[in-house]
Amino acid sequence: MIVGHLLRAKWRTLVNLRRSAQMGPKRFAAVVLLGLLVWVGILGASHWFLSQVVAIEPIGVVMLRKLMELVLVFILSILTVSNLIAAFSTFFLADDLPALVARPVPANALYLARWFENGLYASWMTVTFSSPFFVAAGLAMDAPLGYHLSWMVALPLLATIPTSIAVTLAMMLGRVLSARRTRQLLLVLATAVFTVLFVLFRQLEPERFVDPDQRAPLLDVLSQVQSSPTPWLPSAWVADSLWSQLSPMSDAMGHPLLRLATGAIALVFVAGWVFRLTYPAAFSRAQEGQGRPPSDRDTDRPGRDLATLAARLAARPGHDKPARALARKDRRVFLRDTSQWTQMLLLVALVAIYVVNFSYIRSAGDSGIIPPHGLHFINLSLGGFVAVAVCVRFAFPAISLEGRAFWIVLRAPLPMIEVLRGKWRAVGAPLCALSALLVSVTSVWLGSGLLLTALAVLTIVPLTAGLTGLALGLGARFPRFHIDNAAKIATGLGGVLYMMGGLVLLLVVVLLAVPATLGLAQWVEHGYLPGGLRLALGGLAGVIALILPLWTGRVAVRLGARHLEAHGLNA
Amino acid sequence: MIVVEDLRKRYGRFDAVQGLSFEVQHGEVFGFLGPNGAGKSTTMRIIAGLIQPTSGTVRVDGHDLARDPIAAKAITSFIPDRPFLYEKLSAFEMLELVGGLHQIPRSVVASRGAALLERFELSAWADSLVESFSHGMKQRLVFATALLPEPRLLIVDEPMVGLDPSGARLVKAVLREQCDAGSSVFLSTHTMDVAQEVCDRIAILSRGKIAALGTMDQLRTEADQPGSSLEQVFLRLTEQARASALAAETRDEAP
Repeated sequence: MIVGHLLRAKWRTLVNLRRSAQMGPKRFAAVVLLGLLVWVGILGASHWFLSQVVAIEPIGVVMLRKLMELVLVFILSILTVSNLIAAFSTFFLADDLPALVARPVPANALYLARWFENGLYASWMTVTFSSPFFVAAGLAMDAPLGYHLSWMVALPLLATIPTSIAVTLAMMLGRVLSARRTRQLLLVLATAVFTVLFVLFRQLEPERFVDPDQRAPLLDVLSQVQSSPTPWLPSAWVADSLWSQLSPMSDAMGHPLLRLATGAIALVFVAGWVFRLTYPAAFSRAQEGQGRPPSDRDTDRPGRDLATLAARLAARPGHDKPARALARKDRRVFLRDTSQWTQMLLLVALVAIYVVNFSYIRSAGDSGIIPPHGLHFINLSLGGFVAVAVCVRFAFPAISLEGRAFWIVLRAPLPMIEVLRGKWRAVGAPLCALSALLVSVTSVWLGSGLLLTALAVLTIVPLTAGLTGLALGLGARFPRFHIDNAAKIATGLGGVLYMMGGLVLLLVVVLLAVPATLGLAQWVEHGYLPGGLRLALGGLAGVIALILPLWTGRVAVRLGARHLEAHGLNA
Repeated sequence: MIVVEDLRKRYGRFDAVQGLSFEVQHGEVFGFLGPNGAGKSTTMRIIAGLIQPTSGTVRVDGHDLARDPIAAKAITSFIPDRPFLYEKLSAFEMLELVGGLHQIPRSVVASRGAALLERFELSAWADSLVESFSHGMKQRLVFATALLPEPRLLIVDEPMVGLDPSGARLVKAVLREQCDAGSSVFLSTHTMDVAQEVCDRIAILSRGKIAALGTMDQLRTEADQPGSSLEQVFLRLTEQARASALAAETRDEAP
């Protein structure tokens, strides 16, 4: 009864999103449509890939089963990590918890409501966007209806197991550690684990699957994955249950779906038991960690009393420029906000992924599959892709991260365009330096020569500057001041629009750079200069490749500033 | 100091502010009262330049907010009802930031900032991060940052929320000092005692419209309640406004 009451409030919150000022019906419909497009895209890609796998005679069907087991293990890992991170927010840090805990809500009702919320919040995206893989597997195998009903039941059941495990672990960790710090630590660990998993996945080189001559390494790895490697792993129960529908000759023991259901229910009770034992003390500890009162340590630091601070400031002549004052504020906040440090780890992860991908491109170049000029454009594209991804984490949330304190900037006697331009410079300069460094180092590594390296830098710097402006502008157009997690800010409609716009801009710039780069390379290497019209068109395309991103960034920043001026914190 | 003409603000189908017109004189504390949802905060945020009106004009010391918002903001300070600040900055760094945004010389920020922190009893926490402050301390810091640029107009939305009695007394004294120095204060509050004590003139807002405007005596006369407190006058006037609005709606809906 009370559980239903608690969940209904959350459900209403979700439903009311479509008429909230932040979302609105049009934006809500756009998000749903985008989600559907992504779902259909995954289905199409999975269907194509799995059809290729099944068609491999005589081992295609066996390979499909092994792939399914791998995917299920992967889903289970992601769900465990995301549930664990979410559990610290849902059970200890959520804003509505103090009001709930202060009311006469029975422990079981609170547990069940929060368990359900945690599971749904942490698992819906993984389950929704992994489901096309299972649909595609069914289509590739001409599966009966029973198979589709099985995965529809098995996937949500599988998702409840990491939820229960995560709640149990969070209760035990919350009893002895600070909830906020532990969540940050888990975010760092999750990013590191994801990077390692990606690097391992890249080493499999799945693209070789489509080439019969190059399948051997991947097949070797897959063949090492034993059928049902650990019978105690819930993912193996799901695989057994699905395979019993796909293959009548399945060797599944007992009824795997029943095993999954009983295991899931048992874990809900175990987590509930741990919750009742530990939650009051753990929640109290989490509350103590918030809103720390000023301590002696804060006031007694030598040399930091008011007179010293004032004297130090007065010793510097002149006055601060607003943009510099804001940049200093951003720097201080960034250095003191440990939750933003995880973003740096993400940057390292992106660079690691870039370098790993790059080593395969280099080997393709060494074997002569890709010509040197082709390598240059692939390098440029990959560098640009890293810039798109870095901007979505560092430039897009720049305005939203101001939070509800943004009224201070809105009130300041300076045009909003100046605020955004200041941020553009402050964020854009290091990002341009990073992308220039990445592209030039890899270009030298490829042996592209001085000219192509210089051209790569010349192309990537304005592109990164433009991408930063685009991210910043769209971040200002679609701000989310109420979210303090930089990673979450970019998950809305604005973030999706930026990613799409950024990738289109990257593609256009690389395509525009082709004729100018090739023409220049031919001229320098062979002394050949194309005819008048071709030369003019190539030159024009080159100039547009340099100007277009900067112009795009400028327009986006201006639009973002105009929107903030019109709507302020209600934007 | 402030001239508001036919100000309107519409959120979707809801008219939060419906054709407000009034003036605030130099050196005056102008009270802006009204029940919840009357449109006070919306009006204040428009005058503070935080949101744009649907129509109408606001001039601050002759500067049209729509045409020259920077000049208007340069002479205005705003104190919101909830003191959201940059939690990872110290109190002194907050002052430094505001000084930079207003391009005040660093030596002035240092001396004036130190004096303000002393005044608002925050000097011991000058180097402490705002995240460790209580609500009342944050509110006092907001006052200090608002007074740093020496504004000619102070817009204050619910100044007493979270303040202890000594803090409240300090704020009332500060508001009067501002007026004595020739600045104007545009004050919204639900604390009737504060309004009665510090305001020269009071506007009572109801459903986005001004129900009554004048000095305390003029409001008493309008409410036909001589000698009564502002609270009684306020309740009478808002009740009258509500009744006449309902009567007008009934008339409009009648076939």
